[in-house]
Amino acid sequence: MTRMVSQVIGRALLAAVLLGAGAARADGYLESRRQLSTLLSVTWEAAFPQGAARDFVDKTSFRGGQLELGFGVASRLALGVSASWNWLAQNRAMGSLDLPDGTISGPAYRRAQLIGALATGHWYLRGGAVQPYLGVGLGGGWHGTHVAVANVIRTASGWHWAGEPRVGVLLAVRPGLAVNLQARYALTTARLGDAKDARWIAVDVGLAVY
Amino acid sequence: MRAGRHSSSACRARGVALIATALLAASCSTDIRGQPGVASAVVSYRAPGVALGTFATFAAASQVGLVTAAQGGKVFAAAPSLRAAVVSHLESRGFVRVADLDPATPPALPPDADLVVNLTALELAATDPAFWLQYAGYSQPADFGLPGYAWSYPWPWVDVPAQPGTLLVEVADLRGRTAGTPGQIAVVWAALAYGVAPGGDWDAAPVIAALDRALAQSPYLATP
Repeated sequence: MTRMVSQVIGRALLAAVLLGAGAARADGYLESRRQLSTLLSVTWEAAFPQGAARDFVDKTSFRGGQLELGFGVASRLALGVSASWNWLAQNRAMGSLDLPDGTISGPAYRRAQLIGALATGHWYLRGGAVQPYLGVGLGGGWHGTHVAVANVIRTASGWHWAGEPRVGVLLAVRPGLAVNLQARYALTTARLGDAKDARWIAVDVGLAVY
Repeated sequence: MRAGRHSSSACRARGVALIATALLAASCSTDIRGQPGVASAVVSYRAPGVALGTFATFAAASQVGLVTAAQGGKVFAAAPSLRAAVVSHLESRGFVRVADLDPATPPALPPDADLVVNLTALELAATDPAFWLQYAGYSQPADFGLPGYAWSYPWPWVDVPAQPGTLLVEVADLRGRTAGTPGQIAVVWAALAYGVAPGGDWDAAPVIAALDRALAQSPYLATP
């Protein structure tokens, strides 16, 4: 798993370096003294299930994304909202489901979809073309699960609370455009099958305009 | 200058649109409704409210009934290892075997046992619940010395379509049979292992493994 995280981060950094080449003179986010700007970010996201969530699906997900909107409220501080989507899927050689009067076992498909909506706060540690930031997100979301053993399918869905620390960096490509790299540790109360309080590490890469 | 600003904005818009489109495409191609095949699935059933630990003895069919689409009469599958495995499992769980019953030559009297074990090899595809009851290759209570009785199933069947090579193991309550027209003998435990012997080798390792799994997921089938 650590190797996969490294690979994803490595690829994301490579993409960022390529995109950010020659951006030394680019203006960073919140650098204008005349106005506090708005940032819109769209990122692709990989998710690495952690803890109990691995009992449901322990395979890395490469289907996910995040949409963020930030509003500068101070020279280094932006508050905003984010919406994310993650798709976890795994086919297992063996799984089981309890029935009212018995049990079924066999090849099993497990799927989960998680949608989150968070209020966010980002603190930018510096200005310039490379702007690392720390942040938090608090909110909630919806999750749905689908477990199939043979042709017996059990679905469930519900609402959950969510919170996450996040760390990232904006790599300015040109004034008003940056590559956004971000890592988040998503903590939720989502129940995936028998696994409570799903959590995962999310690694995002995408573009931000401001 | 204006042209440059316009070009920069267009570039930004294209980049954001590209990522948004990729995410949208990923979500649209995500099918949450997938399901695996039924081959090798094992479903075990237990009669609700029946304490299986209160039974002590059993009689076992000495031959595995063979149900085929051809309705070939009273025919049997060659499966001595499978039968031995079933007996061994039950004995290891504390049940005492008191008789072996040959469905080809039904005994004149019912066995003096709490339970009877019936084994059936299903060599056809079918979707109706308990479709085997209609086939000559399936062993009825009369084949075990209990004419005038019928099996009864105290559970709803899971809607899994049977395919050739499906094993059916049934354990019925002889002690609690009820007289009537016909009389009823409740099956208190059953297992269906789907498509585990597609080639008709009922002693093959996948069949035994499926039997093991059926028992493993039924820990309540044991004497105290």
